[in-house]
Amino acid sequence: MPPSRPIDFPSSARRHIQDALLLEERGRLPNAGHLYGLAAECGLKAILIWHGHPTDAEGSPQRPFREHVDKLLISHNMTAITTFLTGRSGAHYLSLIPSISNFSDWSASHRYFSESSLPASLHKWRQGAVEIGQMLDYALTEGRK
Amino acid sequence: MSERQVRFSGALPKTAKILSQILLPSEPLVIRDLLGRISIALDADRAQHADVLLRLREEMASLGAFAGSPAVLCSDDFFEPAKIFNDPSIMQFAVPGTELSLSLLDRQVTGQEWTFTPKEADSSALKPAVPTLAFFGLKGGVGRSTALAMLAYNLAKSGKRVLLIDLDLESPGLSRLLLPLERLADFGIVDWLVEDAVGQGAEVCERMISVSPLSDNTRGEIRLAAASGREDDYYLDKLSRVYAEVSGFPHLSRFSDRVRRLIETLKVQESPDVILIDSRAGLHDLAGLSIVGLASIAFLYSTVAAQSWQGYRSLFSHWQCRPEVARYVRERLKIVSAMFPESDQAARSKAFLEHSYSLFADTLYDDVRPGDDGLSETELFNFDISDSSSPHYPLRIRWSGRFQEFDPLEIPNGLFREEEIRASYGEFLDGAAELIEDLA
Repeated sequence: MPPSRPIDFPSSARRHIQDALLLEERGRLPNAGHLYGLAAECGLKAILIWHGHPTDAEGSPQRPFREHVDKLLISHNMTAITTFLTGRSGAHYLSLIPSISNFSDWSASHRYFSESSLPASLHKWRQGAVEIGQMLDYALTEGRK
Repeated sequence: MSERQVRFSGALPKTAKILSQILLPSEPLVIRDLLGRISIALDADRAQHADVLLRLREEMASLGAFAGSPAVLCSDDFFEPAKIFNDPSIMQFAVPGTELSLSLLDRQVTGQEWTFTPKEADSSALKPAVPTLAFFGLKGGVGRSTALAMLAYNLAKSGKRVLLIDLDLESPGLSRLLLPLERLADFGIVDWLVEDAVGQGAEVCERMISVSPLSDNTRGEIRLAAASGREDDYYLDKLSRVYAEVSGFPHLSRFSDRVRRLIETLKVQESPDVILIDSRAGLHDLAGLSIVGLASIAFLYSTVAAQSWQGYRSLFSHWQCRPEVARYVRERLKIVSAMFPESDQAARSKAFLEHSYSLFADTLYDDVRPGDDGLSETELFNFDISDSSSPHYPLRIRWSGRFQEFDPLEIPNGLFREEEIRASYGEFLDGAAELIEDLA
């Protein structure tokens, strides 16, 4: 057993999605969108770590994946993740999150933006985050956590 | 110490026993993960049932290395618990030798195809179904493909349009047997699988069917979807990707879903009267898909020399533990006695029949208990040992030196007399024709 680390991406992802859904339900849309993006980032990082990407002492992935979801998708592109992952298992988890590219217009800086400057992408981001939640459920039944 | 360790095989029976002894707040779902570790999922509130959950957790710890971590999961461990508790792959698992059974969500790395029956919705959509015969053997080299070629030829002679599908992707050979190279189509099944994954399957479909010269002078036609096409560069590079699951809308496609979709497309494109599938040998997913997922009849090849009986027993026991699958699949099986030898025939025939009967009787046939006589016999799936219509009663193919390493394409040239073919293959060909009639 590795020593227990404070970072737990699956449970953090689940928490962020649940909170985002709550915010969206109450009409707090800009921060809901922000949390959907953070949830997706946690889900992707969980997949990377299951497949052996090295982490720091806290359990966060090392370069080149120390990024928010948009950077995970754009600067290195999903191809970076698909290149890192090999075998049936990697292909399997990625196949469960087909809408992950919905986050290409998400940005961590949106939290500083005025509401009117944000992209109207909330429903796309929600879809992407919900798939992350479902993927993590599936992974839990496979013994991944 | 080692005596007390729970092994893989012991973990599920032990779980069933534990569950039978604790009164739980909801129907337990047993989840067995990729390494065989077992967790119990309950659709219940954690705080409200803290005591019983604690007791369950303590009991499950006795599974040792095969206890899941955590060994007890509640609804709030999942993002969408309803999806897990209603997963369509959950099935009843009957623990052998006991009356215990449990609801099992079994996560496997491979092998799911052995229990993946087509959904009712799928099968009703396919009507009228095209008779689909799968050819399977636990070992290769028992004359499976040759028999398939013989049956295809026989069906073509009777005017049938036959579609052959080579699903023996790791050891393809049907095209070599039935086609001169210049007749081979541009693409094969492996090409379709990689091209479809990136959205380019349609064009490949139209250019992947070859016509065998074996049917040139018959009233019918033998059309073949080979594993590889004429452009078969990089075969292994393609093969190493075909089993991947592919994202799609609204759901992801598993390998088996994709092969099924290919075959449905080919049915529309080719309008076959009969489909013959050359399955991969051994306990491989492709064979599971062929037998359980695709076939209306699966021919199970075995030889008198009995090494394969133990393998069939492993397979049948797997189904036996999953009664829904067993009930579906047992109606589709037919044993073939392959390479039946020239010597000592009476004794060998009897031995083969006894092996085959006890295999089916011990695993897939319903028990007939003394008190059951009043029960409607039609409800019981059971046969007399000598009932030739039963799954265990073999269709025989007699070994003949004439058909070793032979080239079926020579048949139309008159190199083989009809009587010679009938002497070896007659019983099999007639039996297969009868089974196809029954399906129509």
